[in-house]
Amino acid sequence: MSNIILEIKDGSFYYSKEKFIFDHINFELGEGEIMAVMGKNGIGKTTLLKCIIGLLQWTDGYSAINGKIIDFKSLNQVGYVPQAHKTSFSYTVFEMILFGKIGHNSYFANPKTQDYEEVEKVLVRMGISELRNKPCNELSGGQLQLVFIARALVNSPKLLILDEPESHLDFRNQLRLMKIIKEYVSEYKISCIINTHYPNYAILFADKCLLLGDDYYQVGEITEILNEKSISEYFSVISKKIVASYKEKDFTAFVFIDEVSDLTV
Amino acid sequence: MLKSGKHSEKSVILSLIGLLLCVCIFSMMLGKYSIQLGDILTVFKNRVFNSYNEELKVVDHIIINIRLPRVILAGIVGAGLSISGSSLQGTFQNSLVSPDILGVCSGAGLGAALGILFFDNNIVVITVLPFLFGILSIILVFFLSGSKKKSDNMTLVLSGIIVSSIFNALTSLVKYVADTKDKLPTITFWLMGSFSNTTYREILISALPIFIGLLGLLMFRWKLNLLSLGDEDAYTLGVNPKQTRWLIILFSTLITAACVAVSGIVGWVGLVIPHICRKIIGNNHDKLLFISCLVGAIFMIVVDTIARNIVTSEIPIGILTALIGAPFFAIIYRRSRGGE
Repeated sequence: MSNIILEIKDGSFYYSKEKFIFDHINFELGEGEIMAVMGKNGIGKTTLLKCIIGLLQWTDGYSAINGKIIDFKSLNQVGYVPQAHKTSFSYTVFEMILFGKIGHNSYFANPKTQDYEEVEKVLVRMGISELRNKPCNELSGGQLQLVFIARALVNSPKLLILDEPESHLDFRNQLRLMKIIKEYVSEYKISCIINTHYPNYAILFADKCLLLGDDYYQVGEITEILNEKSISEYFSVISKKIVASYKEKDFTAFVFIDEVSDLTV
Repeated sequence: MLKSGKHSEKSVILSLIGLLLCVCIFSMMLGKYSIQLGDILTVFKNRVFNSYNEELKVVDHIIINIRLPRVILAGIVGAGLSISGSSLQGTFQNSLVSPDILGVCSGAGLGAALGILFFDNNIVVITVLPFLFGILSIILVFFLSGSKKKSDNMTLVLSGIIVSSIFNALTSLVKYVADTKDKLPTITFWLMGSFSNTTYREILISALPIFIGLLGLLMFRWKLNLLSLGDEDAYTLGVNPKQTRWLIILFSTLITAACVAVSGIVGWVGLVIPHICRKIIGNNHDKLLFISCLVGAIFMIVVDTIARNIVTSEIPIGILTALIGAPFFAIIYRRSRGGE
């Protein structure tokens, strides 16, 4: 088993005691592993990510990175990619990515030459060099998403967390994005959590899966726990699993057929 | 590309510094007693080399004791209000924010009104009291906004509005009870802002808080960029939003309160100058703060020169900053919209 990077122990969170959002969630994530977090709208996927990085406080339990509880200081090992959003003041793409380097510098420090070089590298890696001088607020949602990912990667994080990264992208760019993330995660041996609405991408790229339900959850190898039964259970959707072969490799996907009607329950 | 970008920033800064110097000299030439450029240079030369010229005795007095302190103070106040406007805009993620958003100016106004009412001859008290009341208003905002738990932007702005309106009402009360022949006009004129009768004492009083504030804000110039992305982004990128926001508010308040204490309430500068600078140099606060200082100083010196030259008696500067600033802003805004 590879080294553990992220550990969530007894993670619980609630706004009021009557209704837990999460109740004692436990999982571990190792080097080079990607975990997909899935569940219905409003089930608390983003809340979970926020709890993991301390943006919201766990009511009980903790999250630890490399054996140390995640606090504000250890956030420099975490790259968090929020959902693409415009900002009040428009910065250029280059500046926005450079900001990934600023937070953990001392107060008087200007960014160093090395910081600028790392921004250049990550621009190339993400394939957005030609956007470098464009104002972020003039980008499409998909381009902006790439910029935010670049901003998270520029700090060479140990843990990469993405909140619905594919939501603004067309499906070619979704594939491309997932490939970039997959390559990066295995090349730099980091861990990655992706919050996604697309089981078919999850099963293509993720190693593990966390399914969030109302007051239950399931975590494990994605090939084991993501199936017709769990999709019906967690998403109330009737689906059929299909397997397609391409260049002697099997690709699994789900076809979504209909909602589970209340009468059948 | 990066290099050429940096080059143009340098040339912008250099040309602004040049412009600032020209504006300073020009401002010292103009006035009821107009002075030639050569005489100004001779006066400074004499001062530097400690020589004496009987013919230029009057010119020397006007330049060194009247116009120079006034130009310096106008420059400092312009720079101070602009940088604190820029910083607060970044902090509150809104380019409509000006330095008086949290009630500093209203507080200072009340301080001045009280000072004039109770200590009318003591100029030091009339300068220090507005400063203290400006700081007091921020302390009130701090406690009203619940300090720790939920000090998000909206809570802060609302607390600012509450504090402002209380202080404004109290100022009205002071005006109402003030002697209409003597004290009421003084209070009213103070509130309109002016640099007349500036001496080096005002500069001395305001220099320390403004210097501390400037240094503090410049220190936070990169963190300010992150803060302007919103609290969650700031946090995940390694900037504690609440703590940083309060520090920036504190430094801005030091500056604004000190400026208002020596010049009265000069509106509009802290809103319009940052806006113009954002158009010139972009939103990166790393450069924006420096540029805001320079442009603010230039603008204030120009307006003050107009204020004391356009008619025989001086026009309060608060009126002029709005009258000149607003159309100027409208033109810039239209231009940049057309250019997009």
